[in-house]
Order: sequence, then C-alpha cells, then structure tokens
Amino acid sequence: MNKLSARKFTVWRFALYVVLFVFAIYYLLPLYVMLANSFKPLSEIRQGDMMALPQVWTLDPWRSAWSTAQIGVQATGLKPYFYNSISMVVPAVLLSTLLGALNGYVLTKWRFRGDGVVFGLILLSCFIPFQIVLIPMAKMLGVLGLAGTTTGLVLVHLVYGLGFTTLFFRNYYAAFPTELVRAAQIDGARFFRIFWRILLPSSGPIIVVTVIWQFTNIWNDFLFGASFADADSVPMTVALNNLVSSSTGVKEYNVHFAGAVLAALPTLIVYVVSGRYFVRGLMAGAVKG
Amino acid sequence: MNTKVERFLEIDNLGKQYAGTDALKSVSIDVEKGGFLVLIGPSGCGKSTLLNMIAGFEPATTGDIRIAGRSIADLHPSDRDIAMVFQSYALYPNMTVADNIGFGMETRGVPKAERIKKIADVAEILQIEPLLKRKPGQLSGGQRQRVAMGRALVRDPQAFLFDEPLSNLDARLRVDMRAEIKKLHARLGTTIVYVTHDQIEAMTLATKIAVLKHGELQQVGTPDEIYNYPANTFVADFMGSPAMNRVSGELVKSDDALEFRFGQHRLKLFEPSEELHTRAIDNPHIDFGIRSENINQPSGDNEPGAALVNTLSLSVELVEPTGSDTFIATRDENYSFTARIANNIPAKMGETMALTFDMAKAHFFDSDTGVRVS
Repeated sequence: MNKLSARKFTVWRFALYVVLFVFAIYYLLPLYVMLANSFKPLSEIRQGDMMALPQVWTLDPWRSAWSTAQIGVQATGLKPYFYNSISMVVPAVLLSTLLGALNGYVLTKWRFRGDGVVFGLILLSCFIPFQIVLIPMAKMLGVLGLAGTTTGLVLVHLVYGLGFTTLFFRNYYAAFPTELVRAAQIDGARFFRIFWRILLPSSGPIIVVTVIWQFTNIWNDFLFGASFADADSVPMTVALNNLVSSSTGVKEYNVHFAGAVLAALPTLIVYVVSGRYFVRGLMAGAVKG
Repeated sequence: MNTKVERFLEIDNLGKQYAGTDALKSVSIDVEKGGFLVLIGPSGCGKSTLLNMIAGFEPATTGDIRIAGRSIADLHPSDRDIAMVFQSYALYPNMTVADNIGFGMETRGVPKAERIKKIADVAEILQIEPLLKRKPGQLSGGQRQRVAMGRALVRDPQAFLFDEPLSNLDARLRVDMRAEIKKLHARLGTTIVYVTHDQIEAMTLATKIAVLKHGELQQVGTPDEIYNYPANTFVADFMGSPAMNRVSGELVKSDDALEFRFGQHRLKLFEPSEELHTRAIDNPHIDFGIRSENINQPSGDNEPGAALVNTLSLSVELVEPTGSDTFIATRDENYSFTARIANNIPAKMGETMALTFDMAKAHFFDSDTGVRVS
C-alpha cells in the first residue's frame, strides 16, 4: 500500500517536472535565440537557421554593438547611451526612493488634517497614462530650462515614480510601531533623526522592492526618453531602437541581438542579485499589514 | 494642607476632547515625590490618554501638568524630563541593546566615554550585561522588558511613565517583573506613573491608585482606601477578585440597632454611622456590598449570639477549590454570593451551608447613583 502510493507519487512528480521543464525551455527560448545569434557572423544568420548554435563563435557583434555601431551621427556604438541611461537611472531611483520613504514616514507617523486626501492624490498619479502628460511635461521642462537634458529626464521619472514609491513606503510604515517613534521622541530625536536612525535602517526589504521596481521601470522606459531626450542624453532603450530600425545599409542581426542583450543586462542583474529580497519584501508587507 | 513637597507631580484639571467627545474630563491628581501612581480602569477609560498627555504625545484641551512646580504641558516630550516604558517595549530593532540604552544620550550629545559608563551602570542594576551587544530580535520577552527599563533608567528622570509594561509577559514572568519594579522603585525613589488594567498590579505596586471610567476619575486613594472604602459601586466591582458581592435591600430600624433586609434574610449592622440611621428613616432602599473574604464559615470563637445573628443558611451552587482557599458560590431566591473559606471546610454543591457575614466590613451604596453611603 505504502509502496504503491510512493510509486504513484514518483510518477506524478516525474510528470510534473517534465511539464515544468518544457515550460522553462519555452520561456528561455527567446533568450537562447538572442544569445546564440549574437555570437554568429552575419553570414551564418543569413543561412536561415535561427535555432542553430554558432558554427564559428565570434565576439565581433558584441564589440560592434558596444563601441562601433552607427547609431547617431558618429559610429559610437551603444556605449555613450548606456552611460546616459546610468546617469539618468541612478539619481532618479535614489531620489524617488528617498522621497517616497519620506512621504510614507510623514503620512503614517506625522499625521495631519487631510493626510488621507493627500495620499489619495499621490496614489492617483499611479493611474495617469504617460501619453497624457507628454505635452504639458515638455512645456514644463522648457520653462525650467531642462528640455533635452538628463536632469530633465531624472525629474520626469522622479515625479512619475513618487506615486508608487510613496504607496510602497506608506504601507510598510503603517505597520511600523508608532511606539518606536514615541520612544525616539522621548530620547530627544526630532523629525529627521527619527527618520534616518530608526525608520530607514529598518526598511531594508521595502527599499529593495522600491529600488527594483523603479530601476526596472526607468531603465526600460522608452516614451519619455524618445520624447524629451536630446542627441547627447538619449537613453539606452531609444538608442537600441535607433540601432535596430536604421534603414540604411545591411541589417546586422547579430549586432542587434547583442545590443538588445546589453540593453536588458542591468535589469537582469538587478533581479538576479536582489530577486529573493523582492519576494521577501512583498511578503513582509503583506503579512504584517 | 498640601505642601509643595507633597505635590510633586500635579495633574490639574486636565481634559481632552476628540471630535466633540470627552476622552478625559477635567481630571486632577497629585502625586508626592517618590510616589507610585497607578492609573487603572477598563479599556477606553482614558488611562492611556492621560499617560500620553503626561508624556507629551497628545496635547491637552484644558488644564495643566506640573512637575516640581514647573508646567510641562507645552514642552516637547524630550524636554519634560520623563522616561517611558512602552507596552511593546519599543526597542529600536536596528540597534544593539547598548545603543538602545544610549540613544537618548547620543541625541543629547553626551560624550562617548560617559555614555559607555552609564550604560554599564544601568546594565549592572538590571543584570543585562551579557546582552549589551545583542539586537532586540535576539532577546526573550523578559529580557526586552529589562532593556526597555534600562533605557528609561539611564536618563535618571524626574518621573517614569509605564504603559502596561507587563501585559505582554506570561503569568509567571509578570509576577517576577512586578516584584522587580517594586524593588527598583524602593531603591531609586523616583516618582512613577503606571498604567494597567490589572487590579492586582495596582494593589501591589501603588502608593496611590486612580480609578478611571469613561474619562472620568472615579476615585483616587491609597490601595487600602480604594479596596476598603470604594467611592462607588464601579470601584467596588473593579477592584478585587472576585468582584464584591452586592444585593439591593432595605435598612430597617429594630430597637436601637439597624438591620439590612433582603428577601427573607436580615443582617445586623455593626456600629452603623449616623448617616445610615438617618437613611433608614428617609430612604431605606439601599445596596449592600461585601467582599468574598468577609463571608466565612461560622467560627466557634465568636460569641454564640453575635455569630448567629449574621449567619445565613444559603444553598451552595458551586464549589471552586483554588488550593489555598475555596470559593463558594451560593444562590437562593434572587440573591447570589461568593464566599471565600478555608480549604479544609467541607462543602458540597447542592447542599445548604451556614455562612457568617462580617458586618464590620460591610459597604453601603446608594441604589440609584451607586455612590458610597458608608
């Protein structure tokens, strides 16, 4: 009896793993195609078999995509645009996370008359479609003298991200014991010291969640980059599009694949490094709240 | 009558309104220097609100709070020279025990060497030296409690505030920590305000108890006054376990003495006051109260006559032995009593038992208002 059920169990287990394996392959297929073809010379791709491994392995497409492909006026590759993206994403993520934490702190621990309405309005900004604000935003950037600059893009992403980051931190801090804030008050700490010394050091999981969320969204943004960036502030996503959809010359698919992987790499790394904290952070809020 | 020394912490007509309703109605309490004031009452009675107002977390709508003659009502919590122990302990989770205790000094810019010395001193008093490098998450409930007290102790404040500090501990530990708090108070002599809903904690710790209900002060007094002379039926019921026995009946004059009659029973009053005599004529309807320990088995030592007078035959509904004593719940007609008798007295459920009421310990309350008459 016991043996039978054990055997039955293994059979089911085996079937389950087969199914899971098939699904995993299916989802990994695009990545495989991209990687495999990025290491082939163009002539091999022209033979038509996208699924085949390279017969001749070459790093040339990667070198080309990174530093010599013709994207703008000069043949610079994706390199300068990668740095554009970094110098846009890093301040935008840090500032929106910090300000979101500050908002959440005020909305939960320094309640004021009408704080619910303020939170509602901030939350509402999560639901405004990007397209609606394009023209007013362009006007505003013009007025501020930030049109076409990386600083301008940082501002746009900061403003857009605040709704989400505030939501994350508000919900996290709602479960944070108010008695701790009171204890710190008796200990003589005021507004910012309580924030820096007590709340922020206890916010690890939600900071990770927010950083991943903001990093992914801002890095992957195309619309704002395409709308508000100048030649010298174009982010990676827009540059990749320019590389792939250039209408002159030969379509270098291998270079395009390598470029696409390069563009996706930072978000991939962020997920792999901190993915477990991401899930843990989401759960922490859910269980405590 | 009161000198300045006796009135160290003064709560003066303190009131608090939330959206039109009174959370606290003009409460006045004085505590002497080194006193131990316990605020007690059922949940929602305003005791925590009062403590939070003393601490400075909630502004007062009316009234004033003074410590040693200085008004603190408008000061920031950190400027009131008080320290607080919270119900949840409220230890900073990201800091070690030592940093938790030293955070207040750090904020005030106390030099590091002095901080370390003071932390060590406090750790020694509370015997938490081995824990100093740990984080609060690695401590047991009792250890956290000690650290929370250490954080308050290190400030050497004018007054300690305790907000139900023992309610998160298990029963055994609660008794231990209660004793430690009492010893600590005896040793330091600092004034304490302590909130609890546990009447045993209140009785054991306090030099002064304030009973609150619906934001109104019911009675302030020593544990002895509160227990033996409750100001009204609420205090009588709330303090003491089991609750005081109470029945409605009438005062009747017989010869020179006074009798309390309920149903077919009569109890002879012991040295009744003038007020009760007057009452018997004006408005004989009254509530009689007696604590369970004042209803006993008839004792042979009593004068036969006197014992018989206040001995009633009651049918036993329930017998609850607790080891040291036995609780007897009786019921006949519509009257029920709980008596506390020695554990060696035989009692059986369903039988009739003779029980003597110690009328020297009788309480009388107005039937309508519940206010103590005598």
